[in-house]
Amino acid sequence: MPHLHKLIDRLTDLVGQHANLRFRFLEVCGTHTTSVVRHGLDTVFPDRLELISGPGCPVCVMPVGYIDQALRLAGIPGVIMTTFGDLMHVPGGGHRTLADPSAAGRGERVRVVYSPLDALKIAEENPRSEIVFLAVGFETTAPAVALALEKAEAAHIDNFSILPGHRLIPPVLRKMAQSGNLEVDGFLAPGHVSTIIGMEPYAFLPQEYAMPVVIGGFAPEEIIGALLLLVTLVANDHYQVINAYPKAVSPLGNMKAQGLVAKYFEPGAAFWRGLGEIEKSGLKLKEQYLNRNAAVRFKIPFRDVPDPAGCSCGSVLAGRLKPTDCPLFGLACRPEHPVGPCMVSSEGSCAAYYRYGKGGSRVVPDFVIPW
Amino acid sequence: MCLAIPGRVIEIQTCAPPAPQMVVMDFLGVIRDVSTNFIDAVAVGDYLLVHAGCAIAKLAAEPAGAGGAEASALWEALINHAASS
Ligand code: SF4
Repeated sequence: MPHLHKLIDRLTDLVGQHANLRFRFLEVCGTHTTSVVRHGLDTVFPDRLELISGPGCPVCVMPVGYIDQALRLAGIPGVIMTTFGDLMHVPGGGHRTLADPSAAGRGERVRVVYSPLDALKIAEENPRSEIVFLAVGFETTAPAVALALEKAEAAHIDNFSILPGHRLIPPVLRKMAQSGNLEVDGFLAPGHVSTIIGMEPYAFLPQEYAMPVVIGGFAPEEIIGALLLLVTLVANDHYQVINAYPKAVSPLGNMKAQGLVAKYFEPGAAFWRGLGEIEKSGLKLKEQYLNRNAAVRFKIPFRDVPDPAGCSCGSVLAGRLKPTDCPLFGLACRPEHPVGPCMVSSEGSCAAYYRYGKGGSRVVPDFVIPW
Repeated sequence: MCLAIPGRVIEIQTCAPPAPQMVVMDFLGVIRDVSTNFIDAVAVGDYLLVHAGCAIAKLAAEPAGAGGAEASALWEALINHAASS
């Protein structure tokens, strides 16, 4: 990868030329975190360049109350709970998880699916059961859920509902920028979220908070290139949004996907682990589709539950703490018995640092296609 | 979880609207059906980025070799833009 080496050299030179400046960037996306530590990019960063992890792991940001809600739903007789695999091992209150054999109680066992469309298929095949899908994920995932709802409506598959848990990236970035105690100089914006939303939703960051934003891909060269752009912008006092992942991201995003999401959902206030309730940062089902909301259908409302004792996931997600600085990291908390979600999800920062990072084991498994 | 995987379209399944638009894709030898409701004009041979069973973007053709001259030119143009605008 001669080109990668050239980009790293340039990055080092450019940072070196600005000895009076600090370059501290928030990598919004968990897939970026994983790619950075997995390829050891953090070990070649020049001094004064630092990348800190943010709230970009959709499973990690779900509050404990959501997991509890899912556990209560899974225990209802006649309900088949379906979920992305990442949620299975996230501890709810009392350390129970959806993977516990007792999770389903008298209900049916929880099934892992790769796509909400697979959950819909289970609903079609089991007309006498109620199928609930745990709809977590950022803007990237919401279109697939909207498509499952669209198909359920068209084919009158009435035994299919979701527990809405989608979270939106721009509102959480606004909240972090507003908080004033986030000491970063710019954002590495998530490539796959941006394929859906495009560039415009980030424009407030340069305009209102003087923070440059670069949308980046996930290969080592794409990440180093994006950092080089961020350093260039900061060094020149240029505040704008740059799309450094044009091979997949268009300026307006995927308008068909945006359209279908807007048909079923609207933004509403939502809870984030570590960050609390944030205005318009979640997707709630529109009034006319409320019967597709499992919480309404089965009368299992959300209750706010405190985070597990000793877990600092909230601070990690808010960009205030490095995973390796959590006192439980690698000791009481490991992927085999995680204390918090950041150690569970494949995109959780703690799991990434434990598996590949400086403080961890640096065992690199083969790339796994998730189905 | 926002992981999206690139794959190549190997077959278009013909379904009349409003039936789901599906294609068969090859992901490094793993074959799977994918919904393309969010993508315009899909053809066999296209590379798509797939997340949770749905294609979310059509990938622009790779410049010859990821470390090739065209890729360098792209970074050069972006860096100039960042420095001068
Ligand atoms: S290491 Fe474990 S306990 Fe500490 S913040 Fe991460 S997930 Fe929470």
